[in-house]
Amino acid sequence: MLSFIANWLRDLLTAWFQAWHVPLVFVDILAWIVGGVAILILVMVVALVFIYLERKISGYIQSRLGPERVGPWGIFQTAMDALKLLQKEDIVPAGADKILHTLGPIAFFVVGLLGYLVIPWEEGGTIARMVDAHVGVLYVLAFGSLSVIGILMGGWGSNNKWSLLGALRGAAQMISYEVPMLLAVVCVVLLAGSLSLSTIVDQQKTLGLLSWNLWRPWLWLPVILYLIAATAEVNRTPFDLPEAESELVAGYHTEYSGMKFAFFFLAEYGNFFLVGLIFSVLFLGGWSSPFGYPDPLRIPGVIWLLGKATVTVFFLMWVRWTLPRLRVDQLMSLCWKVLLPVGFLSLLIAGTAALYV
Amino acid sequence: MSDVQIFADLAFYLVAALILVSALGVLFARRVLHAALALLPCLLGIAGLYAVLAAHFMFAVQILIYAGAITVLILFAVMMLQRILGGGILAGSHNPLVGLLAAGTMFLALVAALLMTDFAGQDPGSLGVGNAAQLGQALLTREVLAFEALSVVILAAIIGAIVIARTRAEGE
Amino acid sequence: MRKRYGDNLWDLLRILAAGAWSILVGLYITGINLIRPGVCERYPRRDHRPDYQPRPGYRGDFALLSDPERPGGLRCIACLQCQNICPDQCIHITPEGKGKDRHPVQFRIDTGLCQFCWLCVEVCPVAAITMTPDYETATDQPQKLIRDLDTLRERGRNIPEPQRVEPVGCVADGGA
Repeated sequence: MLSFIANWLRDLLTAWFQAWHVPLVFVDILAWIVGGVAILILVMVVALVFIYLERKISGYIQSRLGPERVGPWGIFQTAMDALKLLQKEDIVPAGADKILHTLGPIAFFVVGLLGYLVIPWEEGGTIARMVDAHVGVLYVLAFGSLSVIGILMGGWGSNNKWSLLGALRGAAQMISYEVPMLLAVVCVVLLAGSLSLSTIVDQQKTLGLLSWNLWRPWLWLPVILYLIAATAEVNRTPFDLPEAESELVAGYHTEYSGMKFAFFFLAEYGNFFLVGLIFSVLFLGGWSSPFGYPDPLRIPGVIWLLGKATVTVFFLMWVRWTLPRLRVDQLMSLCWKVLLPVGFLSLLIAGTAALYV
Repeated sequence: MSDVQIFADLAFYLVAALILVSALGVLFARRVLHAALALLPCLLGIAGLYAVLAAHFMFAVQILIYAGAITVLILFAVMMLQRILGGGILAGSHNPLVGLLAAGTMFLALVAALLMTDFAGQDPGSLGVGNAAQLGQALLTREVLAFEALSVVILAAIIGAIVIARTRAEGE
Repeated sequence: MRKRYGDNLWDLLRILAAGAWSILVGLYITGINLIRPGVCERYPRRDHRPDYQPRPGYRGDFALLSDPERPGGLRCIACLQCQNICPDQCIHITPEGKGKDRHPVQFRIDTGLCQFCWLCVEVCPVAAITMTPDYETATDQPQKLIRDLDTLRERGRNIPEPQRVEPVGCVADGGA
């Protein structure tokens, strides 16, 4: 369905540009701009929906109701909260570095958006197709490591000991957990034989549900490893010490009010959804339907992908409201003493499987 | 010139402008923290240059390593130093003459090397390390000695860092 | 290290398995709670307990009990005992008449000041004033919190007997 819309748009633009004698290369540029705007809108909508879902699900898990009043079942709650944040006064702490204070949330948000460009939304439906064809997986990991800088800027630019502490812990946590995450992803890459996310999905589409990477026993360790490492990477409980409400006030986004805080929050949920998307692409078959390759139900691949990512996100939310938070030394020791050896072990197993299976 | 060529040139000029402006920012920023942060667009611009030259693997790895890890390292170092020294470190020249001499020598050497190399006449395909697969194969067959030596060096660095960073009063 | 990771590989695997099992049990518990229908009431809708009444003796809004044979139609003899004992001085009574005909012509209770201590009910010699189980008295204007004679009389018409509950004492003394 997406390729249908994309092709129709492209043909329309090509016809217009030929009529007005504009160089055809601008069609490509315009296509990319449209893709970028679509990603922006998607991330905003997704963040709004998931913030609402999180509040509802956490409420029901805790034997209470979530938002109930704003709209039927409270569905407009997040939108109203966003509007409220928009009209709040923007407070910059005295003595804070104004440039860093402003650029922190912006950097964090933009970097979070960029990871969405290489995800295969449909067959042949990646936005940055050439990048994905060569280095899809590496690209996602690269932008995961860039988001550390946004946090550091936010924490330092607040002129606040606790923000700085939260930011440093967050940065240390994020760069540490990139390693097990990378190892888990590399296991999948070993078996797929390519760094491209679309190729990884293409290898899981043939038999529908049965050909998902989730069912291969030599990939079970990477599955668990990826879930743990990616949750730590996006600072979610049980690894959310940098933004813990009870320990560090609110960590690196303590001193932010209004729209900048909204940026941090939206970017965090954007990153979280990206984790769910990558998990679906690597292990759950991406845009392919569980019923077989040419989807017998004729549901667009985007819907399948978003559905799988939503299920993953729901599972991780469920985990969030179950487990207690890890202390920072437990966090680091888990990464380097447990997950890293497990990562190497899984690399060994996956490599052997790639050779002999 | 074809449309694609125009577009490629445009992309190159934009990226080059980004690199130059942020490099100037690194040089002339008042505070060292801003200088370290200005390095980030510079490195991203270099990654952009790799992308324009269709070296995709280098593009991703440049962002992953340089922009993602090394910039964070520099930021950590500057922040720690500022915390220890108790204030913003301001950029300034302490020894202009020596600096000028060193920079001038480096500049002359680079210009000489650039002028003596024949860039247009080289065949990029002969290097044989275009993409990830070729790079991996080269690392494990032709360059395996360098690869193993590098891993030993990194191991030594990690052990050295742990030894330096541990406190004296540790029992275990 | 030894305490956390066990003595040997078998110990380590047992520790890991115990940890994984505890996580699964935790997920089961929260999952069950997610699906179970809750008991939260979406107030002011009464879905779970539509006929909820507070327990007898609940200190809600005020009422003056009726006595049709007396002048004024109320049991109240305007002895001003409740006005005198009220710690917040929120009762204001204007009495009229002498002797057996004494009755109030104005009886104002400011429930905004009232602390619902029940002292006025306890001290009344004729059991004329009481507190009803009516708890939904929230309003948006402070003037609406003042109860006057007619409101109190109206509310008192629907109560056959005054609510008078013996104090039950604290748990340590064997009370409820």
